[in-house]
Amino acid sequence: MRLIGEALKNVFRKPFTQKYPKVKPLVPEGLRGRVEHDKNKCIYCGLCAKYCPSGAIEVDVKKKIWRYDMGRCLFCSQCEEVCKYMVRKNAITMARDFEHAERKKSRLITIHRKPKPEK
Amino acid sequence: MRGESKEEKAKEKELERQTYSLPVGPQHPMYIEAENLNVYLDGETIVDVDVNVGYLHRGIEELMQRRNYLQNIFVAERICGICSGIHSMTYCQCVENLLGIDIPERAKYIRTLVLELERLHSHFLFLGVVGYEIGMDTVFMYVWKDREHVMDMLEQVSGNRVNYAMPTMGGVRRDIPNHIIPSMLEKLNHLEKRTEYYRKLFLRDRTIIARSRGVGILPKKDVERLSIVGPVARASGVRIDVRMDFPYLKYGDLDWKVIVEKGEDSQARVMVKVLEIFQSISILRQCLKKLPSLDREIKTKVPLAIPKTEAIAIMEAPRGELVYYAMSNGTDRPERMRIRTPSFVNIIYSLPIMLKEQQLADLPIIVASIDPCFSCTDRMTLIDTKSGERKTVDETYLKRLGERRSR
Repeated sequence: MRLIGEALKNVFRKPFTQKYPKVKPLVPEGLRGRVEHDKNKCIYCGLCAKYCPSGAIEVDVKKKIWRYDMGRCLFCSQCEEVCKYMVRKNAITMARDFEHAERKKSRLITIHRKPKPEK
Repeated sequence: MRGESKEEKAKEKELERQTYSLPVGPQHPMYIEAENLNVYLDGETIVDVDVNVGYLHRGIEELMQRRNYLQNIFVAERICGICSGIHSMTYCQCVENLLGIDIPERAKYIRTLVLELERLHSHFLFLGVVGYEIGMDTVFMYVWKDREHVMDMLEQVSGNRVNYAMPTMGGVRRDIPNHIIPSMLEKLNHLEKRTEYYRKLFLRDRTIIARSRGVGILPKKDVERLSIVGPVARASGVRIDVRMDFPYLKYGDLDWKVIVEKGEDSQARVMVKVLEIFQSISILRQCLKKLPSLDREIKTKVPLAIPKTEAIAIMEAPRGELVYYAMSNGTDRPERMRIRTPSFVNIIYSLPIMLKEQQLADLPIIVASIDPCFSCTDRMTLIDTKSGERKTVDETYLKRLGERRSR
C-alpha cells in the first residue's frame, strides 16, 4: 500500500533533474570557471606560469607572450591568487562560465601578446 | 598477497586444483587503488582470496618532490576523487608543521567545515553504492539525490564540486560569505530528516537485513591484530578515531563522540556511516554557529622556501586514518613526501578474512561495505580449472547474481 502512495506521489511531482541545455543551472558566485586574462594589465612577469601546478600557462618573459592551454588547466585559480597577492596586478580572473567544450583542440589555446603602446 | 615461499606455492597449487579461480578486477577507474581480487571458489562458496594492488600507481610522491609547495596542494588533492579535501588539508597541515606556524581561528573553522561536508558527501555516496550493490536502485537514486544538496553546499563554499582547493599554507584560500549560512542550515535540516529515513530503512528493511546482517564478518580481535582503521574498525567495536585520539583543527573544542557499533558485519559498517552522518551534521551546525568573525587576513604569510626539517600530519579521512610525512631541504621543493592512505590497510588485510566462507553473490556487498567504490568493476574472467573453460563475465552478470539473491 505504501508503495502505491509513494509511486503516485512521484508521478505528480515535478522532476528533480534540470533540463540542462535549455535551462542553464544557477552557479554560485565564487565558481572557478575559465581563466580570463587582461593583456593590458599584465606585466608578463611569468609568476603565474611558475606556480601553475599543471603547466597550463606558459609565459615568454622576453617576447611578452602569455599562452594558456585550457586542456591542461585544473581550474585551481592559483594563477589568479598569485597575480592578486604576489604581483598585485589582478590581470587574471576566474570567469563564472563553465561550458568549455570545443570541437578542435587548438581552440582551447589562448595566446596573448602585449599590445603596442598607442602613439 | 601470497608470498614466494615453497609451502605457499604448494598451497596455492592445491587450492587451484580443488577450486575455481575467478579474477575480479583490476579496473575500477573511480577508485585510487584499482585492485585485482583472485577469488578461489568451491561451487558458489568463496574458499580463499588473493588481493593484488598497484595497478594505479601514478608516482604521486615523486611528482610532489618535483613541484614546489604551492603547486603540491593541487597534486595532493588529485590523489583521490572522493576525499580530495582531506588530502590537501593534511598536506597543508604537514607543511605548516614543517614551518611551525599556526593558522587564523576562522580558517580553522572553515577547514573543519569543509572536511565535515566532505565526510557527509562521501558517506552519502557510500550508502548509495551499498543500495546499488544489493540491487535496490531506488535507494541509490534517493541517496544520490540528497547527496546533490551536499555538493551544492561544497560548490557554494569552495567554488568547485569535487576539487575544492580550499586550504593553502597558512590558512584557507577564500572566506565563507555570511549570507550563505542560513541556506546551508536549511539544507542541513533537510538532510537530517532524510538521514532519519535512511536510518530506519537500513535498520528495518527486510531485503537489506537479509543481504547484510551476518555477512562479511570481521572479528574485533582481527581488527586489532591487523591494525585496521576508520569506520571498518569502528563497526567491529574498536574505538579508534583520529579526530578524538589526536584532536586537530577544531575537533577538540566541538561537542561530539565516536560512533562504535558491535555488529562486526556489513550492516554494522553501514550503520556506523549512517550515524556518522548525524554526527557530521551536528558538527557542521556547531561550526556555522561558532564561526568567529574575521579579525585580519584569512591566511598568514608563509615563506616559500622551508629550512631543512621533517614533519608529520595525521587526520581522519572519511575512510580512516590518513598520514602525511614531509621532509624539507631548504629549497621550495620537498625532499621527500610519504603518504599512507586508509583504504590500503582496509583492503589488503580485511578482505581475505571477510570473504572467507561467503557466497560469490555477496562479494560485491562485502567489498562495498568497506567503501572502496567497487561499483565500477569492469569485467572478470571465469576459469574452470578442471575443464580449462574460460568465460568472461561483466559487472551486469555479478549484479544480476546479486539481484537474484535479493529476491
